[in-house]
Amino acid sequence: MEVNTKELQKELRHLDLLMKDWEEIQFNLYHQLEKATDHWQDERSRVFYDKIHTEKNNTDKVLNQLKDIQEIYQYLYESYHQFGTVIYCEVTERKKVFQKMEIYVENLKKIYVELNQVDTSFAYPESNSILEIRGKIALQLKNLNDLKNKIQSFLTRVEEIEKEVSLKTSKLQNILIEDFEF
Amino acid sequence: MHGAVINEEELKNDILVIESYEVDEQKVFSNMTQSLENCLLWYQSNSKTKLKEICSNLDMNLQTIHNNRQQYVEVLRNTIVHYHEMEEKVIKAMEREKNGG
Repeated sequence: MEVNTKELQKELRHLDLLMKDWEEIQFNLYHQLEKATDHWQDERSRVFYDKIHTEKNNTDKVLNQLKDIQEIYQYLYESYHQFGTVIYCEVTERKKVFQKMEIYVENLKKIYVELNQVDTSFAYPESNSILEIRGKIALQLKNLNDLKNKIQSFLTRVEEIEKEVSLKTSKLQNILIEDFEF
Repeated sequence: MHGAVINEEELKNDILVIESYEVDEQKVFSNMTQSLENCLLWYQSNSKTKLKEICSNLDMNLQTIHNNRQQYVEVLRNTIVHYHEMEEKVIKAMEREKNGG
């Protein structure tokens, strides 16, 4: 999974302007078409008028779908931008990453236990440095656990977002706009 | 005679305005298609398969809408032509009548 939130935000602003432009053009275009049926009045113009209304409903469906798509991208942007401007993550590698981290934690723990067994109750030249290293390892263990928790919650969040995106997109239906025949 | 059913001048003007909207709309469609493609580019994920499919369907529909717009103009143009032909037929019939059949 890779998201460029910065570019996505730029594109969403652009898309928003385009959609507003389209809405305005569409409104004016159908208004003008209705006006045209005022300047042409017979049986055919009435049929044309009705068909134009059906066409407007169809294009509204497309516009609404466009809004739904934009909403999904907006959701993606809002969900991911708190993590950074470019987010890359292999969610499928989650298990492997945590296994490796776990091995690292276990190794550090073993070293800590070994150092703990060294008697430092009396003063000798190395006792201070042993205590210092033991403290550093304890700190590293804590940092590593914090990092593991952060990665864990990040990956869980990514999975939640991706699940939500799948759910939102699965609700979108393909629309078929038919050719105008008169 | 035909003033009662079509106002040719106004209808011609309507056609011009509709065509100008159609040109503007086509530009917007083209930019929208590009924008949607870019959005897909900035989001790479397995979840986007359906999104991609919907965008491609939407693109196809925008193309159909654009083609339909051209059809509306075609209908309005043909209406003018149709009324001109009718007018000619009426004039010819009146001339024939005037010349004694």
